[in-house]
Amino acid sequence: MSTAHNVEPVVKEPQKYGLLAEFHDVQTLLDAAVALRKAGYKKWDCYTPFPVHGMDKAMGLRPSILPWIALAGALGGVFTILALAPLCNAFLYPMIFSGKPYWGMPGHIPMAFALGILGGTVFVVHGLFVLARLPQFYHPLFTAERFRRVTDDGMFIAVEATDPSYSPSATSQLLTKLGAAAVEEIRD
Amino acid sequence: MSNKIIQLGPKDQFYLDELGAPIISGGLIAGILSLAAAAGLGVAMNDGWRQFLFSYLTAWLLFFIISASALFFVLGHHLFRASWSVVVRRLAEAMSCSFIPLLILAIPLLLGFRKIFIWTHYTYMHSDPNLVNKISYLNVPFFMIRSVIYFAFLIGLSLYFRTMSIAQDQDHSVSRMRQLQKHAGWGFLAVFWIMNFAGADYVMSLQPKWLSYMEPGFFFSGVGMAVYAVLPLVALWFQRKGKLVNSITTEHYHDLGKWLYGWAMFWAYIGFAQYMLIWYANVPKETTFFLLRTVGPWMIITIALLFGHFIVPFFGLMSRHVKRHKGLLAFWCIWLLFFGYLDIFWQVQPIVWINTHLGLAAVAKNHDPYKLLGAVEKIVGNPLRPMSLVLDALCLVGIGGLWVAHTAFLLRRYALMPIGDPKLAEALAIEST
Repeated sequence: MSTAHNVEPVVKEPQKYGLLAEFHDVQTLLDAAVALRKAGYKKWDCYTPFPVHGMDKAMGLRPSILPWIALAGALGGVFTILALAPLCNAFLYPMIFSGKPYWGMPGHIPMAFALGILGGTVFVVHGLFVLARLPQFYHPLFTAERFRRVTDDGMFIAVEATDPSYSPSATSQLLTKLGAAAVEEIRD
Repeated sequence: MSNKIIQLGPKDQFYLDELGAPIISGGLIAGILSLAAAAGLGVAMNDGWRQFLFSYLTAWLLFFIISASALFFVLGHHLFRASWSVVVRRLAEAMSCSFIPLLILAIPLLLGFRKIFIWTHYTYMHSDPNLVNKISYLNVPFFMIRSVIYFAFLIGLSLYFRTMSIAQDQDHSVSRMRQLQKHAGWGFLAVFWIMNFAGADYVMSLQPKWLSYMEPGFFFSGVGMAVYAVLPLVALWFQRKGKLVNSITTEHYHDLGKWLYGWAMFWAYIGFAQYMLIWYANVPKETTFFLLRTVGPWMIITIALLFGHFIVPFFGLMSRHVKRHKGLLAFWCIWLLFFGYLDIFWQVQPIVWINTHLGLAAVAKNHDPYKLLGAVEKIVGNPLRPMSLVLDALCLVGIGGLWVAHTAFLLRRYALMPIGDPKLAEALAIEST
């Protein structure tokens, strides 16, 4: 602590993030994605203002685990009620409702159905946020002026510098060859 | 009105050609022979004629439901201006035009009318104040008038939509499409209500004292599902025979599979809603339905339906990978078609089981729910007669064979796909997500 006031404020050296390539049409983007995947790149992504059909296949993305999260949430909701309702109605505080048995399963199904839907939707929304690493307030790509058009008409591929196959010159040449209208280096 | 000609996408085999004749003759022969055998067995068996009528009604209802389902599909396609469903619409159009043969096939049901519907008996209907109040609705002339109205609309709509679609093959007319879209609105509602009322008339009235506002909807959930179980099977079979190979893709099968799954779950939703309301209110005139279906062999079928029509497909058909796998999708189509039939069987046949074992007069006398319980307890041990199951199978093959022959007869001369539809290009290129 005593030496704290002697320390100079460290200015972080800008880190290389990678290359950003802009494309002007969907088909070129799709072909470029296929070519990048075949060239062995691992850490890269496509950015478009709208969903592109066939992109999952072009990029070789594996199916998301989100459906399993939703299923777990839904089944969790269903079995919570199927256990909780009899626990309350039949064991902890037995009470007769309209002459039905304490453990009246048909009467519990609508609640189980509702909580199944609730569990499924809550898990799918939160699972999506976790899987997509949201909310994310900063991303290195935001430093690029041209990347602002990604919410309007810009289509981009960004290759990260941490990719094993990455090399500033070779990757840049590859992207240009694949039909990129512009390629720029991004620094964080 | 501008009529635009749209280029057809892939090269394909669009005509039934050499496949037509064997299907038609095979269906006709199988159908006529099976129905003749069923009628012979019905005459020979002890109380067989009544069993024949009920087996026949069950099979007839299955194909009535499939045809109405196909019509509902065609109307829905136009109403929602869908494009993906263009590729299989012609098949559905041909299936939906089966109401005239079905009307002819209903003749045996009309001959045995008084054996099927207990409400046609004067003494029975005057045995209970509840029933006396229903006579204004449940009487033969009004029943016939209703049936004529149902069939007039079903035949008219199905012929109109198919004729226009076939004319479009030549002129590629957009205005025809607009015209069909205009009429799809009221037609869609008409078929929905017709099938609800048909459910009340042809199924619910088998137990005249029973009252359930959910039963027509329950019947309709079967109508919704049937075509989505049949279409993938027909399309897959055609593709194996080299027809439409480049036109119907995994994307279309995926969409059909989604609808199949959705309607199967809708069936469970409505079925359970009906069960729970009846269980909760516990009113005798409503509980008779489940009273009959939770004793003896019927309890097994009830449980089989719960698992086979809901729980097993709920998990089995849930994944998109299953819906996109042709073999697995075909398996689930056959599975759900079987349970769709079992669903009708379960709604119709307990009546003949109790009639056979107790006799119609005894049933009429014991129709009071409390007395019925006592009467049913005496026959709980009585299983389904094996010969009645043989009759069911024969009637199913019989009506099914004739239905298939008629559908192939309609498909034989025209393209298997609406090749003049303005949305065809869009439909061929569709991507399911």
